[in-house]
Amino acid sequence: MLSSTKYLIREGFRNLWTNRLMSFASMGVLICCLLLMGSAALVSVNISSAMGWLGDQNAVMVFLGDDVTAELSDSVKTQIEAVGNIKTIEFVSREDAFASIMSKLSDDASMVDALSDTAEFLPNAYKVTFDDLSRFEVTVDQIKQIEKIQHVSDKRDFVKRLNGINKVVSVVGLWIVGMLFVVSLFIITNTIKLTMYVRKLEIGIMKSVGATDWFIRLPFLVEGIIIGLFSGIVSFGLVTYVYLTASSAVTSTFTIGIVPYSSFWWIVLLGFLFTGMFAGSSGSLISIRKYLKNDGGISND
Amino acid sequence: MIEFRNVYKTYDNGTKALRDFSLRINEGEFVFIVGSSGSGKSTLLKLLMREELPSSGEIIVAGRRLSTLRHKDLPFYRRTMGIVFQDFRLIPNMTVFDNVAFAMRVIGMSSKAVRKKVPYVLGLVGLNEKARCYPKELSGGEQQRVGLARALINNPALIIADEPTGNVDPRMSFEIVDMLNEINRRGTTVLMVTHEHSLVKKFHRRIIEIQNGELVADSGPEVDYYA
Repeated sequence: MLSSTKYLIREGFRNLWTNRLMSFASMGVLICCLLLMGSAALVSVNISSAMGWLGDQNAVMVFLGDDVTAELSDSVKTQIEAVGNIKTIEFVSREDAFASIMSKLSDDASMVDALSDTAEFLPNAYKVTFDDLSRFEVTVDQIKQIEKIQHVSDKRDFVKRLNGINKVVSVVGLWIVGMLFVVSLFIITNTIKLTMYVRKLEIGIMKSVGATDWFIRLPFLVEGIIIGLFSGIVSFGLVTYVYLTASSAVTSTFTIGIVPYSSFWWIVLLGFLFTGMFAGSSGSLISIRKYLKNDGGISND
Repeated sequence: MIEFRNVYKTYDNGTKALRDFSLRINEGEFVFIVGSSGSGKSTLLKLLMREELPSSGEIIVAGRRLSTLRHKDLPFYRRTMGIVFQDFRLIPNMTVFDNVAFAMRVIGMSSKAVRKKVPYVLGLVGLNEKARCYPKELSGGEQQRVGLARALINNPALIIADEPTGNVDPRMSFEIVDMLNEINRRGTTVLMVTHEHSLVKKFHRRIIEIQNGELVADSGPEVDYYA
């Protein structure tokens, strides 16, 4: 059994080398598809991360009534938290708000004078961010129901648009990745089918001397897996290089950061290896199916 | 060993390849099957190798009813026979040694067994010096001897030779049949399809003639253990 396994693996490598032109073509196609798929996935990841970041910026201000004391404000806080879907909740006292406004207006001396140094006209407030932006409206409406709340600053339109973009990006991204996978499977299957035609003789001989289906299949499977693994590694190298180069360029130009590679490079690597192996092995199995299905193929027709 | 009982074979396109074909071949026999092309010889072999199933009738080989064999049983059934092809069917990018060893590896034999057995069988067909050659470096006769070695390597009880001399020069043809004769003398049943009457005449063995899918002449079993 062990010697068979060794033989089959060696046979897989030998086939790979004997049909090196086809192997090379398969790898090229698979690498292209993996690169496109990987780029689509990475762009999608970055867009949704940027969306998340934008969402965080979009905090809702919950302004409390003038009569709300420090004790009361704590009870309001618990009530807000009870609504659910709250990510962060931060108390902004009227003094903090006043200081923030003053610093923004510091260039305009006359305005500063006019406001004198009292913060009394400003309400106390909570700065609230949400976990799930798609439930923005419901959550805001629920908060509005709470007593002692004077006003909730509400940027529904912005959030709606943000949600829309996010949805489109993830759906389109998934479609692109899915379609590319089908396309690459189709191309690999056809490439391997071409080599299969050349190896019809070999398969016929194998059948005639009594090889089991799995024995015939395994070298092709090994071949597909090697093609897949190799393509995965090459794609990973290329994507890593491009991503690192691009992210350093983008970070030095824009303030919005790109998702750091160190936090998910291993997901990219595993994704490439698995997708490559899956595409390679399914390609092999699909292309050989026809030759194993019938009982013939031994003698000439 | 081989029994055809009222076998009919009609292909999907309507060709009637065999009609009410009955035949019995005993263990240890050497049988020539003759007939013009299109007579049904190829169909006979396809049915024997279980590449095709009969439209009706029964085929029994070494106690196995071929119609009841399942797809997954086929490899094990085929291991009981060795097949020699008219066009040799050698793998061009494998050496003589590897072409013969291939048949052993395919049924999961160990490298140790391969190293021991292949030179022995190559010796039987007189090709030990050519073990490292590739098929294209050999003559037609030599290539067919490799084919023969490959058919023999797994000790089959039955050798099916489909026009084994069709691509071999006459002098070599005689040698090939002589080798099959020798293999038969050691106990293996041999079935050889041919249309070379000169060869058939030289070796006085059982002759079965097929015409239009029917058995038209049978010189009768020469060895009949059941008689």
